[in-house]
Amino acid sequence: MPEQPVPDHPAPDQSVPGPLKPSRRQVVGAIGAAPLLTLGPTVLRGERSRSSTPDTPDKAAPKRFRFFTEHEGAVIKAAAARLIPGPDDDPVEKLYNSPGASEAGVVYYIDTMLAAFSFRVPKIFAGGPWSNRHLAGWGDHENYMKEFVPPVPRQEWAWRRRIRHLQKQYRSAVKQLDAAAGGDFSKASQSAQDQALMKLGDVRDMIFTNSIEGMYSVPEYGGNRDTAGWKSVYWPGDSQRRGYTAAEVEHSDGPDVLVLTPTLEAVLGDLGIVSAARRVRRQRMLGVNRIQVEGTGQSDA
Amino acid sequence: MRERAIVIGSGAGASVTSMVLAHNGWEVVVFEKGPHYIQGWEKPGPIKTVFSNDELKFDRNFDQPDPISEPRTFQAKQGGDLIVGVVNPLASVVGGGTTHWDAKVPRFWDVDFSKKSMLGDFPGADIEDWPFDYDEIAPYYERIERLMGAQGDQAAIPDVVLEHAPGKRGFVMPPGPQQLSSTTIAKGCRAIGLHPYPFPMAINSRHHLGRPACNDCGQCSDYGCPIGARIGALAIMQHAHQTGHVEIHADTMVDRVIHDGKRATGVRYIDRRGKRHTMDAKVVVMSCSAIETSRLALLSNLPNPHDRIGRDMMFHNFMDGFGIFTAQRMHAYRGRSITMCCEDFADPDYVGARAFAKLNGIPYFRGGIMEIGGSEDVIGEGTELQFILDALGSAPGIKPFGTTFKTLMRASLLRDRLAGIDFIGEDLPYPTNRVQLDPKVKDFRGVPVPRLTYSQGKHEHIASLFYIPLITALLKAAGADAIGAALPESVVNSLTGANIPHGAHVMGGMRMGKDPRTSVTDGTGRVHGMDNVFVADGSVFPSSGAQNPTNTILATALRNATKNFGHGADHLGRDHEEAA
Repeated sequence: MPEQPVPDHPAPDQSVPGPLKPSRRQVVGAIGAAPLLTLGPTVLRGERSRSSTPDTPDKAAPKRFRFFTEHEGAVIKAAAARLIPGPDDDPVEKLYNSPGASEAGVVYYIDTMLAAFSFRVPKIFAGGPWSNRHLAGWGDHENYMKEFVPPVPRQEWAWRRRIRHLQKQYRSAVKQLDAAAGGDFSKASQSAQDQALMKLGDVRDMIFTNSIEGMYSVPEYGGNRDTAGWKSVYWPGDSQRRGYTAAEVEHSDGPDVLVLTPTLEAVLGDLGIVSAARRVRRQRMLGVNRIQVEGTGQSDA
Repeated sequence: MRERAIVIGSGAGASVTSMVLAHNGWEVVVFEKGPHYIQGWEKPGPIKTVFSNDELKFDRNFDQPDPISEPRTFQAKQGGDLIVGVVNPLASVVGGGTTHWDAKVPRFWDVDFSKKSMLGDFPGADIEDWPFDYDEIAPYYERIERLMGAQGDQAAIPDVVLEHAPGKRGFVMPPGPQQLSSTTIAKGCRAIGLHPYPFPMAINSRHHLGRPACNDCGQCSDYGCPIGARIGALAIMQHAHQTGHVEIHADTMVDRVIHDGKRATGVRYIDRRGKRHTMDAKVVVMSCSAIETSRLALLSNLPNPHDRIGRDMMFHNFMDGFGIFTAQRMHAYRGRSITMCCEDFADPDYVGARAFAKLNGIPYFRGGIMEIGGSEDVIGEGTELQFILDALGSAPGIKPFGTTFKTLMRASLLRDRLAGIDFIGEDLPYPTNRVQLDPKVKDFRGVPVPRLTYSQGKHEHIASLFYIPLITALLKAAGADAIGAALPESVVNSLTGANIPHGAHVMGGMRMGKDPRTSVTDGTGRVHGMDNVFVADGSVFPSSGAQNPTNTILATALRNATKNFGHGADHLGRDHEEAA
């Protein structure tokens, strides 16, 4: 545990994505329109190009999964890449060079979750109080998030059941995806994969929810590799011990005009749905708790 | 030789009661069913903690009961469809809900304490005055605000608030930086004649008692504070601990108050290995938060001759308004989770409110305080978009995943471009809204779980109808590029299925009152008919108020504990302490 006082506002490490320039961000919402293709090179500037990335773990020697078989891992990886595509999965994402589930290693997040109890300390709750990932070079370097917090009995009871349930669901999901794709889902065409995911709503829901977690959670859980998920949404991520300066809190970063596309208009045109989503989130019924587990509590019935 | 007092729970009410007990010669044993995540709170100085900027951890119920091992059940009305799972959980860790709250400390108003005298009855609701009025509780508020280390600006408190909640606040430091999202919505409030002001909150805006100033990391509400700029009720528990006569047992659940119908002799508890034990005590204080205290009272078969235990549960009439800004990002992810509030709508005489009530055949209604400027975090935005795309799935040309999803994440309508309004309206006490023991479902320890029956009434419905257009208007006035809306509960309910109350403002069930036929505890929180069993949390509230309840939980517990256990802690939280 760290003893140092918390610095007021040390300079952030240069690797932290800083506030984005309006010129780059004005086009952010404006996808799906052909004329934008001409903006390609400008949009790409400043973002990590996938082709220039040194070997990431999934490109080097195949990483062993802890829970999935190689085939299961390949299917879930392919499904996650359709749900949250990256540059190799969708032309629009290529245009933005925006990392997706494959680049962020989402399948390893899911595999780690399903194998959480195979670690000395179950990988359920990452540690604290901070990671220091944004303060390399400033004093204390240690990443306290790496050291997971052992679950107490009430948590272990729940998580053993949740994970056992999810393990079964994932085994079954792979079989269903393969069947719907008429063979090996991971080798099917992108449109066949999309059709299978459209058809299998419950399977999609589960993988999508976990992919969102693996994309945007702190990297200690096994996903969000090199904070690729955060970069894809222009968010700096965990900010302790730096936090934000008063000026960063109080002032606008400048104009950033949203260009409305049909997708954005569809959402903005149905604010009832937005309000409902916010409510369900506040009821804590999205994400982890969205997945219903049989045997919740004990029952005399 | 000190006699033993047992305090069940370790949150707001428990901290104050423990402090007063320990300073009046009691040996205090605190039982907390949740784990212990903060070290070093026992004395002034920095803390150590495993709380962090980790959204997933809190999604994974790190500090809240997991609905698999500790579910609750819910039905909208007696005999209705039963839902088993997440029902308005509060953090259950050492420090209780105040470990992960956003630390807002507004006060209730005179009309809350003197509800029946000032506003009168309401058909179907149990309207009563509290055992004390605003003037009596005001000095306790001030001490609590000092003990908590509140930030705020006395000079900025608007007249409408001072008219109903007069007097000096115990602010020990000025407000910190104002979030852009909050000040932007505040402009909209002013444009329609409202009076927003810096939200009083128990977060350090400067170094205080050895703990650092908040650095506006932004992962505040629903997270534990990683740096100890906000330690909540543990700042008060510290004063208990410093007597050397308090011990805290974490991961330990009390499932019975042992008594003979007149006096309690101790409690039965379940340790972290699942073994049951008993401990004797001369005094037992229940401060487990409103639902859990009602549950424990029912589990313990405390005297309940008029079937009042667990009734009149209140949750606040939460309404959601939001503005989406299309010309700039609002970055509400920076800062201390909403820095402005606006209380005009808590006024029963807000212009037009009386006439609208009359038109709808009710005597009056109240809205409540608005927290202005919040938004979502990143996993939150992702899961909400998943929900939205599912719902829009039938729209032509919209694939409910893939680049559609990423486009929306990049545009960040719900996180980076959103500035929200949490409208915290008064929720009247209806006797049909209640906590009972579920006859079938048990938690992982084998203890029956609480079953909540709850529906909003006409008061909340009419208040929503009246205030929704005003919220929408102020959101639009907040910026030409904003798309603002607030929607009636009925619409949101039809889209979400169930109206399980949310928001972690949990009150009622053990209400205070003179008459045992209409209340469970007396004017000091002592259970009617019991010599030595006391309640110190939001369950004793006879009305919900129209503001965040924790300051009032703390002040009420301080007043009641002082009356019940003595004046030995009266020196704490006084004005002269500030220099220390």
